[in-house]
Amino acid sequence: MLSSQDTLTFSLLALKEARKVLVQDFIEENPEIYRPMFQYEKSNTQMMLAKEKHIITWLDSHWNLIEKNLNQELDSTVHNEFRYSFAEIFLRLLKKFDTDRRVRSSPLAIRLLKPKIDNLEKLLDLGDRHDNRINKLLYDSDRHKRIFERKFAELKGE
Amino acid sequence: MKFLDMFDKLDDIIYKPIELITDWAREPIKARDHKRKEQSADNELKRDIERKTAEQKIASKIKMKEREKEADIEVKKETEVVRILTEIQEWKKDQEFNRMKAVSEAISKYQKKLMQLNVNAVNDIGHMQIELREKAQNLVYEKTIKYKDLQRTATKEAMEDLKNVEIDFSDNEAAKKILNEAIEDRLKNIINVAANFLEELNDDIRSINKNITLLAESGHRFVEEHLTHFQDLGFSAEEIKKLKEAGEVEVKVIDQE
Repeated sequence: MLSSQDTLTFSLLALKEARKVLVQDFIEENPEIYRPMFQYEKSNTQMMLAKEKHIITWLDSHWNLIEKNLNQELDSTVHNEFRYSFAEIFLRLLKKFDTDRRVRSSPLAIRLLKPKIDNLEKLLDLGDRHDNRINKLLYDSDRHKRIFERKFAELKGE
Repeated sequence: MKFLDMFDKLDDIIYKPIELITDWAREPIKARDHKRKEQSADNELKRDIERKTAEQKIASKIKMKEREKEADIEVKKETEVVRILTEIQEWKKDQEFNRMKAVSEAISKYQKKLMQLNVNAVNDIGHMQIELREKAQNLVYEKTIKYKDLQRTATKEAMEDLKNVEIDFSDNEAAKKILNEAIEDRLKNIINVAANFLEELNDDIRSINKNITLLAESGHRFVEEHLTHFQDLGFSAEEIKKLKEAGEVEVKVIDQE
């Protein structure tokens, strides 16, 4: 049995570590954050997607962090107990990031984090893929134009 | 002593007739005696028989009374057994009833909680689905515009070039032909490739949308897990099925709202 004191301590520790990671990423100019910011400079939708994906991944990472702090000797029932208590705290954190205040979150929201990240990634991949194609088309178009202009000049010069 | 012996014989001679007479005199007495003896033997027999009959009568009376009493006891025993059995049945029914009451109370409490859970879960999932679909839609729109822009620009440039060719090579049919063909090919190429990519874009988005729809599965799984908790509480499979059906009814109701 974890005392409520211990639960609180472990929870606060986990939250603190997560915050540390977040700040550290910005200070060290982690490319994972910064590359999308430049890459999607022109595309608002993709920028928003990348931002949201990052935040939700960060929120999800809390659950990995709590494992680190729990003493490995404690058996699985205690682990589960703690996860259950932490879930309530975590839900409150989630609510702060919820853009739509009208929504009343259920504990299901925690379960939905991973699928959400998954789908955001898919969307970003899709965006990247089509960006590449558009770029290729632009390059093709330019190439053909140049070649045409050369030919034009050539025929004109005769 | 012979003298005495003579007397002995005299005894016999004298007394014999006397003996005879006395015997004959005694005869009626003997007869009466005999009669009396017979009578008394008769009487005794009678008495014996009477006694025995009486004894038998009494014995049978006793036996009858015994049997009556036995039957009485049997009946009483039976009644008692029946009474006890009925009591036990009643008691069992009471317990069943109380248990049923507890179960149905638990079911209604569970229904309420489940409804709440379902409402929130459906809310969450629906909300997330809407958000994701909106983002997907925006992305698709953005890329579509880019492709279409590409096509439009290519067409415009092609027109320009055609005009220029017409102006500069109005006299040179051969050159015109070469250049026009080049322009046409170029345009066709870009339009087709862009069109293909647009189709792929639509396919991609359709599969992502399908993915988003499948998110509803998480909700169902989530609720299912709560049902397994009830198994741990010792509810029978029957009762759990009832609970599940009750829950699904609630979900249907919510879906229809």
